[in-house]
Parts: sequence; C-alpha cells; structure tokens
Amino acid sequence: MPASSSGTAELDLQLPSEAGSVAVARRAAADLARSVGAPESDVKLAVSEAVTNAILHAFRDRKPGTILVNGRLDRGRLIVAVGDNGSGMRPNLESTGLGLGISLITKLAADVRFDSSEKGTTVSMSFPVDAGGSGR
Amino acid sequence: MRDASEGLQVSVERRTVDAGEVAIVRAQGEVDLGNADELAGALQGDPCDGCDGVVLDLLGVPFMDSSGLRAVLVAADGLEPDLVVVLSPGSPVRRLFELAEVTDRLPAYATEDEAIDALADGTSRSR
Repeated sequence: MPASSSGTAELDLQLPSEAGSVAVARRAAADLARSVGAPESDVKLAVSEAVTNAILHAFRDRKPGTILVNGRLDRGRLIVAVGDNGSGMRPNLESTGLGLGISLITKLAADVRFDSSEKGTTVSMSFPVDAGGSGR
Repeated sequence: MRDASEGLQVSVERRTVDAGEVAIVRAQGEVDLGNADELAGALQGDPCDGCDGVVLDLLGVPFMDSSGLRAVLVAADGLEPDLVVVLSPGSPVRRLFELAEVTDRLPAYATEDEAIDALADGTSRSR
C-alpha cells in the first residue's frame, strides 16, 4: 500500500512520458484507491486516461518529458493529480483521436480541475472515499 | 491474469454457424496505449476474410481504456461485416463502453453464443 512514513496513504510518482508509464501509474493509483476505500475501477480508468493524454499531447512538439502522479487524501476525498512538464493545453487540429479521454475523466471523477501553462498541464481529480474502506 | 506489462494475446477462430461463417477474435490482457496497436492490428488484419460477421470476445480483458476502445471503433468502421462484442456484465470494460456511450455502435453481448446468434439473426444490438 502506498503510504508515507506518517502512515497517511499517498502516492508520488515521477515517470517518463512513454507508453509503459500508463500501466505503472494506473496500478499505483488503483492500489492507493483500494487502500483508502475510493472507487478503484474509476480511479484506475481516470488515471490511465490522464496519463495517456499527457503522453500523446503534452510533448508533441518537443522531446519526451516527465509525468508526475500524485495522490493524497484531502478532507475525506482522494485527490489524484496527473501533471506533465509539456507545452500546456492547446488545440490540436491534427489530432485523430475521438476526444474520449477528457470526457471519460469528467464522468469518472467527482470533480476535475485542469491547470495549464507554458510549463505544463496538471489534471486534478477527486474521488469519494468510503468511510467503510471498500473501494469498488 | 495477463496484463499490459505481460503483453496482449489475441487469437482468431473461424466458426461455421447456421447462417454462414464468423470470425471470433479473442483478446486476453489489459489494453492501453502501450498495446492498443496490437489489438488494432489483429482487427484490421482482415480476421474475417469474406466471413459473415466478427465477434470480438473481450471476456479475457480485465481493463481497457480509450486507447483500446478507439482501436475497436476504428476497426468496426473499417470492417465490411458487422462486428459485435462480448463483454462481461458489470465488468470494467463494459463500464468503459457504457461511459463512452458506444453500445449503439458496438452491440455487446454477455456470451459468444449470444453474439453469434445475433449476427445470424441480423439483429445485433446491445444487451
């Protein structure tokens, strides 16, 4: 179980922007969700989508960079943030994607926040935590 | 259970049924950005070759994200015969299809037999 030395469940990953990082981030987030009683399947899919988006879009005009995945409990919710040090959110007229990723994230997370600048993008997602501790 | 790090395994079976011949494509393992191309390749590599329908069995896929779904949608658009999908009710993959609202485009059934019957009847629709 991901945990800090104080015993508070948390997640802090720094991953290369490559396809293999999607599964690494997803599994770590799923472990954290399970440990705190957040909806594991929803967290898993949302993190997979956020990391995929970062890999596909953040570095399309530059060298591959870094994906940061941070998870923590905050006021009874699981907050998972997926950030990158890419070019920020910009329209991509050449994209052949179906735009599914962000649509799915907004349906899976209770709240979603996008912070974008020329230094990169961070997607912060919050999920309910079951006080009984049973994530689905 | 196979996952994305262990690689995706895809097999194709041709089966003759009352109404003709169908191709059954079975995938096993998690599907994401790292291996969605493998699924796309299997589906776009003409698994049907003149058959009357394609059944994509995803019962062995414990997780799929939009990278995999996109591969399935693109393949379904490019295939001449109907493509139907086999999904376990209540599974994470079934939930993905529902959240993405694609069950009208990709009829889903709980078993291969149900999917084959639907293709044979020409009544494929999501169940």
